[in-house]
Amino acid sequence: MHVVVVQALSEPTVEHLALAAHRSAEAAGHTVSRIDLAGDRFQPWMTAAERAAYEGDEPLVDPLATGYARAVLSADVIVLVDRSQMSTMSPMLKGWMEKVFVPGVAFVLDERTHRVKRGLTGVRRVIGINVADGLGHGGRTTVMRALRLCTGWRTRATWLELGVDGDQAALVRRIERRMGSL
Amino acid sequence: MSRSVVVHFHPLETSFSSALRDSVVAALVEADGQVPTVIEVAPVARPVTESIDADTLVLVYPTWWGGQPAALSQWLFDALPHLSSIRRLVAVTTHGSPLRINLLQGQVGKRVLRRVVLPRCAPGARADWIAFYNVDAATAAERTAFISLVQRRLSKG
Repeated sequence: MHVVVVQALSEPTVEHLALAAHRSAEAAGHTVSRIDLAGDRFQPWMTAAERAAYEGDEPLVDPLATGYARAVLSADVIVLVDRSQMSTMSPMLKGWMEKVFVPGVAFVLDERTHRVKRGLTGVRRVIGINVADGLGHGGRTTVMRALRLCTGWRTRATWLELGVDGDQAALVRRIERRMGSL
Repeated sequence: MSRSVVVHFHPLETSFSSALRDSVVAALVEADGQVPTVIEVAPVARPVTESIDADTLVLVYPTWWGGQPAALSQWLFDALPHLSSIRRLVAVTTHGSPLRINLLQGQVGKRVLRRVVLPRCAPGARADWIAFYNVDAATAAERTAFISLVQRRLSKG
């Protein structure tokens, strides 16, 4: 399977967890594409040009976003690794979703009925790995619910979280087990 | 002291969100008798580093993926330690999808404002949630009606 691991931040804990997901998926024989948003110097704020293009025929303007979209469209498994901020996902990861999961990638909007059709139908599993900030469960609802509106409800969703005083080694073992049993 | 601060985010000046911002400003001028401070959240904007000298904070933004856009989310995070004078927190937001979809998504934006931002405001501060759902399918008349609703709610003070 093609596993896309998205590492939102460059901080050590997030990087360590993303690496654990990457290595354990590879060890299990999967093809892994790792996206390092901070390392790529991804700019998560939607610009006027991007918003203007959003509802047009070519909504992807940023070349980085275009490459990320290509990766998620070919993914069987998407793994999002993040540290929550204000109880929800970090602005970096949220901005990544806003800029990459555009019409034609994550969904297609029916002009007549205004209903949304799923775009990420090839994704069989979504895994959120989060370092909690003590205020809530990060992007849990976004990953477990909003994202599955685009992949389909049959897509399995898993949430793995490191609490404020959580055991990082135990979480790494859980990640390894999950990636090993994909 | 400026009584109100309006914080707006939408990349396009031609957006409905920008029209809502202008309506909010007009309503606050009518209610307070003074022009509110308007902050446009942009990549080059200076982050908040000192206390926001106002008693009303109005956030005007489109809801994307169930919550505040990334840019506004970062602005709010930077502003958290500086909200102690705010007694009224107002969100004026649009959702492309119907309410049931936002409920399914977990109403992340509303939850962040009520559970994270409001507790950082002045003791006893209240929050007003003024949301327009299904804006993508709305008629011009429905949009005009929502602008009127926003003005009525903000004029009440």
